[in-house]
Amino acid sequence: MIASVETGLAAGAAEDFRRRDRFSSSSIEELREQAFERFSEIGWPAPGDEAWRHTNVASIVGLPFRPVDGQPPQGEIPAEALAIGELPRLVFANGRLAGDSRLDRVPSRTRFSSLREAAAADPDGIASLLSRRLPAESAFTLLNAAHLTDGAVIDVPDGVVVREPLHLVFFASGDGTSPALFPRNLIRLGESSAATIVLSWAGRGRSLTAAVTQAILGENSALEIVTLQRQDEEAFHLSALDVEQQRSSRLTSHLFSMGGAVARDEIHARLSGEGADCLLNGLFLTDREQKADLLTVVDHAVPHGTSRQNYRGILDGRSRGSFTGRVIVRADAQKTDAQQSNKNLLLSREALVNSTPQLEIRANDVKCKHGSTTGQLDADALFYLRSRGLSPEMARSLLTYAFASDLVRRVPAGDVRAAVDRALHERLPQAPAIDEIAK
Amino acid sequence: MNEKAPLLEIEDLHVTVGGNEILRGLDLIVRAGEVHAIMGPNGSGKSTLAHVLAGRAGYGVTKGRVLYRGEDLLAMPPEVRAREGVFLAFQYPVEVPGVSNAYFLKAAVNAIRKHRGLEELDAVEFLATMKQKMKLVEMETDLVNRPVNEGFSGGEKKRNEIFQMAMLDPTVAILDETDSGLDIDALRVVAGGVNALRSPERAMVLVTHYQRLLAYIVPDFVHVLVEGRIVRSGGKELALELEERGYAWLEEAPAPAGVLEGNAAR
Repeated sequence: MIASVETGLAAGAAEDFRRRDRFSSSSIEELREQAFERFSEIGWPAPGDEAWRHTNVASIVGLPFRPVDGQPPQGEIPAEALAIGELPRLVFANGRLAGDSRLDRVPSRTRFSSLREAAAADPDGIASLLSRRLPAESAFTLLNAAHLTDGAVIDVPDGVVVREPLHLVFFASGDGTSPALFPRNLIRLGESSAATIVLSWAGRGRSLTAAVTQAILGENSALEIVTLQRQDEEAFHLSALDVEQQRSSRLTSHLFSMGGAVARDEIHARLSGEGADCLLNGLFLTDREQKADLLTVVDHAVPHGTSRQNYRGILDGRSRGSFTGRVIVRADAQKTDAQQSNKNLLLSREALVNSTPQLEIRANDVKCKHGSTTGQLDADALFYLRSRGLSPEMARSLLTYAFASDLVRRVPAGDVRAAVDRALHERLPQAPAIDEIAK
Repeated sequence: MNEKAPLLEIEDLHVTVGGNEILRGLDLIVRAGEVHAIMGPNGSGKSTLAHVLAGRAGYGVTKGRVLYRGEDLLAMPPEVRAREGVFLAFQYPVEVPGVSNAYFLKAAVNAIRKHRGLEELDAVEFLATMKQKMKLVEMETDLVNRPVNEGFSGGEKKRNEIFQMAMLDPTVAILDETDSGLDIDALRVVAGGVNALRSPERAMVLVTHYQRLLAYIVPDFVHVLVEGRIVRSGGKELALELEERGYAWLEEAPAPAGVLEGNAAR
């Protein structure tokens, strides 16, 4: 049977897989088949699956999403609007590399290319990266491995510091169709190397993105990832970031999740080398009927690791949000220092947020802290601002923006922070610019 | 008589907070150029009066009225009162993390200027005004650039209130316990700022528990508030008498209503 437009993602999965766009490498194709087999075995997350408690899977898989097959997206891609300054960038329009990419100013020994190009140039290297099993395997990560729409490969050699942030733009165009996109990004940082990577997600109309980004941080390397998610409010966005941290490496992640009907972001960081440092910052903004689901798993496997998590949510309308932060400190991971903070701001009576810290500590000489607060705008502060002449709307907007700005300020200064700030402004139009507000 | 028209007329004001009547028929007339001190024991309604005038929620006016330049002040939302020229220096200034003092003030100054039909100040003009006003209360640049009141000491917060007052250029300023919690050096600085802002066009109402402040800011009138009513009014010497004798003699024998005429009919 050929999957028709009306067949749901679940019902059409087997036929969709048969019609996939094949890679020339047989080892990669073998991995894809294995992934699909495994997907068929484990199936979709069941209603009782704790990790999927806050994401309504049935609402996604029943929709007629079809994996794209290299067809160009309809309508214009606002690539310029998505650009951040003059940063080198790879633009993926409905999963495929688009002509708007710019590759100058990337250090010559650093690979910055699409997955399909990289697989043609180095099939065995890419196959070996793809063969790593993800700790947070799910139907969606397996479908991602099976379909591998495309994505970016960033490989920074030992000792190379990439000075300019590298920008990955993913645009999902659902005009008239319901594309399912399975982007896969592979990042590897060599010993004592450093890079900053910006992931921009945007789109128009109804689409499904089930993305996986894998990163391996070599000894003493530093990766900073800034994620700016501004999908269409009809879009479904599922993203998993999987990071393996070797000795003395440092991961800094900044997540800004603003779009999507459903937006789910998972981050899995494994501190497998001593002295690794993991900083996770994130902010989600939801309004109307939007749902945001944030999950982090920080796995301290060895001693002397440090992790800091700072997540905030701002919820308006009838939106829903959740933060589930799991910290694992294994028996060997003495002298671990882990902290987690989750603060939520409810702007409407109908909005709802869940905050679930999960600490699993099996070592005895560790420092672990977590805190969670949920509240409304401070009435005293609102009155204070109004008593100085500010309108109630301006006062609310200013306080909301101030709540968000704590996370914006952590983003590296310059073009990237300005882009985050601009995006935030689209959501909080009354608010002033961050550089103005803080100076 | 060539008397200035009143800026603030409070007539028979009754205010309830959480079911308890706190103000029970308060009368007060404040004219341009005057500084009034309202003194009284704890719980007499001093801060309630300050908050009602600024428009804080949660205070029920059950009787009486307040006119500001002849208009119904109580009908105006708090931001309109501020734009019209009423300023409250808070007893406990609120911390606003993430918003710099300078930005906050620029937004406030321009909201007020716009309301008054004046051009908004540009960055250069604003900075120049700010530098000039900072001197009044010996405000350091560091405090101006920090988030509003965040991590400020008690003295710094109070200085910041007077700095805001200087920037917003009010017609009637109500200072709620501006002296409480200040050491003598901070008090001298704050009082110096307030004195510099005295002018024939501006009136001030100082709400205070202690006479100490009035040694630095000499009022034209002193009123004693007991159980929600002004029980005695007089000149600055009344404050000295209170310093010597305390409030008890007034609490035990509230003055008859006729005594209040001294203020109203003056």
